[in-house]
Amino acid sequence: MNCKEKSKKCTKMSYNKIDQDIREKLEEMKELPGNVNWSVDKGWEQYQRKYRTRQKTIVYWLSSAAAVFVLLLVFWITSSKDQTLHISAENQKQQISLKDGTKIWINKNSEVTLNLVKNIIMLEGEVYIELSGEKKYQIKSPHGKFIAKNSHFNLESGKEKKAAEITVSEGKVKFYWEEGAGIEKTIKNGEQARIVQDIAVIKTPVEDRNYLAWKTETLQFQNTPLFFVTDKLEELNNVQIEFDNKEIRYCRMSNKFKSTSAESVLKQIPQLLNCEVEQSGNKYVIKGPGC
Amino acid sequence: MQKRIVDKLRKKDRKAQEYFYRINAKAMFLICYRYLGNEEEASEIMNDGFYKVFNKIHKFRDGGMDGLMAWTRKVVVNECLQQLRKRKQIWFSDDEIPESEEVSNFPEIAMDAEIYFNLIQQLPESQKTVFNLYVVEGYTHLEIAEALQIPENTSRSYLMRARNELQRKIKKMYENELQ
Repeated sequence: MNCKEKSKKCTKMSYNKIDQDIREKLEEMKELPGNVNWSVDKGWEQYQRKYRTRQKTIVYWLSSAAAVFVLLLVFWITSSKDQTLHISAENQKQQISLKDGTKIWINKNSEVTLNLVKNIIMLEGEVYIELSGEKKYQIKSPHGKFIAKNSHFNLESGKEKKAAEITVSEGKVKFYWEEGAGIEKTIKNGEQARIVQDIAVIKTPVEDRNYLAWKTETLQFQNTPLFFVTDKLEELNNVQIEFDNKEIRYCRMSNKFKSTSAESVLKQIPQLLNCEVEQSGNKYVIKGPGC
Repeated sequence: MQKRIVDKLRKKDRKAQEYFYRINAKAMFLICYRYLGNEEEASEIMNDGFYKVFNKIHKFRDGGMDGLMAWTRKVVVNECLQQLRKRKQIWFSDDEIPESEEVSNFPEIAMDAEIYFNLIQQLPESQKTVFNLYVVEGYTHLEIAEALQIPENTSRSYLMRARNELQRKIKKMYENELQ
């Protein structure tokens, strides 16, 4: 073929025109090439088969994932619950030893709830705590929050009490008035503090050597005025102790008692001081010239 | 009506999806068949394209049915190009042919669409891909270069090769008639 010859049916066209012609032709193409067996119905059928299965698979995997998630959630909730321990010592004091070596003694009529995941101890009543290891513990009480680690202390705080009392025998304990307030006081080894609700923290050196009597069940006095002894007995026992002679109140005594019971201690006092003890129910009267 | 179809597609309505598929599938199949040259593969890749359209319709924001059809076409073409890349059948040599500015003589013969279609099918894979993208889809050489990750000039060269090859085939086909 020679298109340069005028007699031949040839013409020069721009590419744009050719491209446009081809594009239009292909766009107008309504029928499939003769050698093609594909049809819209077949295509749709294949689509349904492939993607319905895929969607079912996706739904299956999503359901499985959701099921696994729910199981994990249940496990987490269950295990979280397992990490919470509530102990109510009603008529008898109790002792708990934790995995990290921490020991907690709970006095009678006291309650403790432990969250071992967050290391939180909720207190209502009196406890003596020996914290071990490097874990920081929060002790939440009706009078405020205490934070400590690796320290030993006795803490008494209850909703019905006007003040909380803490005595630190090892390490230090930080006290916060309320969470986020930023006001804190540190009570160190050998100090005790009386925390009057929303009013004051009164820190003093440890005055009461028998602050752990409820735990040790011993009382020790060294040249102590008798009224100190009787006050402690009243505190530890549900009793009332009176003196028929004011002088005898100031008589001093030294002794170690292997019991904290008022009856037991008061029975021994006449052997130490020149006096007699009379009992009437829960009431005791100490009589005599004394020292 | 058309807007309602688009709205229903956005809500993943199955009947709307089937309707949209049925009115567009043939054109999309022809596109895929033109690129891939294999019926089963064309059908599968086209279906992948429709699946993407139906599941990523939230990315389509132009609203109307025409816009959606154009977007569908683009998605389907991209699927075909991806498939070609997977097959590693597009191969571009570095020996670029200088683009001829001279317009070739082209036989002025009215040809059926199917003849064009078949002639394009006979082009080598790389030439066919560039030709389809440039002439049929209306891509620029820059867009082709980005889509196929080739230099822009390579796209020009392969278009020229495709044109020459197509012209040669057309002339050959009508040789007897034109003499």
